[in-house]
Amino acid sequence: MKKLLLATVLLAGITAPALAKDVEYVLRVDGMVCPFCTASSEKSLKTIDGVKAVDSDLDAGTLTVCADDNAGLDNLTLTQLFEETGFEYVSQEKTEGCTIDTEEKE
Amino acid sequence: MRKILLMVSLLFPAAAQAAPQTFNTALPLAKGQGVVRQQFSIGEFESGGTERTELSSLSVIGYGLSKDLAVFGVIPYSDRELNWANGTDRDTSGLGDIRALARYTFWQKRGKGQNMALAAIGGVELPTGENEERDALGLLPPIMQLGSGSFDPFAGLLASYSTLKWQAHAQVLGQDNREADGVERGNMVRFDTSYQHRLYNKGSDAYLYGLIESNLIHVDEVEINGTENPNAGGTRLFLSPAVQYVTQDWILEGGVQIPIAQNMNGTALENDYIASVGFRFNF
Repeated sequence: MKKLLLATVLLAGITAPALAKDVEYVLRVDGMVCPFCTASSEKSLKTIDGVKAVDSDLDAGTLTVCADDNAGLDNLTLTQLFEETGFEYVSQEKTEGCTIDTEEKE
Repeated sequence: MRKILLMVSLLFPAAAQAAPQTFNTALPLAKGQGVVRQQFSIGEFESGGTERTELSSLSVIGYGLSKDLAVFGVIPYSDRELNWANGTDRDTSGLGDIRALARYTFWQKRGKGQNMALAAIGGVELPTGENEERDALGLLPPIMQLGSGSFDPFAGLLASYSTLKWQAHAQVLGQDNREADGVERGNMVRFDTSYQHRLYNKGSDAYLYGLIESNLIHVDEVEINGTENPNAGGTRLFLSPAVQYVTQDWILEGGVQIPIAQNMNGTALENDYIASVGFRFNF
């Protein structure tokens, strides 16, 4: 019984990261005016653990981020991150599952 | 004269934004990130049968120390050839005066697809270029010297307003040129404007801009051993059409600076044109 419990715990530990849900954040960011401008924001976002891919839509003024559910993309972190890149974080919408191409963008 | 070409082409720290080709932008660099810019240019000058050609390479590296403050280094390399009306030819090439500068963006307002900023810029031109270069005929004239020999401070103000469709930038900047080895180059003041319009876009991945810029540049006369040279310095107004292809990772650009008005002192050489191509990338 003890062995079975240990095996279960170990298995759960090993598979937990793989089972972390992907979520997609659509971040509204002010101040982005050209493709070159978005590069710094994308680069900064990708330094956050759990962020898998980032895509931008300049016309909409948004950055779409595919990340683990526990990546920690909270308002305070994002406000500071975009302030340091010269832009202004406005808001976010979070949905389950990613629609952007994680292969191409990583 | 030499200063005019340098001022036309050197005062352009790169930016992590689409930006003017012939001067600066007020928009900031991201903290902890950098940009590299490389430009190659050719300029031709002429007066009374005397001609001068200058090929230049300008390497710029910039780094964001904070969200508002960025530092830059500008490294010039030139190859100059002077053909006097009497048939004498003189030439020189090498490293010019490196410029070290800082830009502080003191006001910024951002909206959806727009960005406005005001910044101050200041720095010094270091005496890294040779200022007493000689050839078989003796000491080269000041317009052929690659360096000034002096620490020359400069400062200015910048304004930028950018939207997704168009951008406008302006700069006013002055440089106090100091005396070295008996030569004091004329002080410089310039006023620049830029308008760039998006001509084409490939979604959010790439933009093609058409630019039109103006550069009004005044340089005082050179003083040699305390005596003003009446054949140096003057005022030029350039109109500079250019194109810029901007992607997320790099920018390709090219343009021509055309003098539309020149009021040069004495026999100071007039500028025919300055053509340039270049690229930038983030790191």
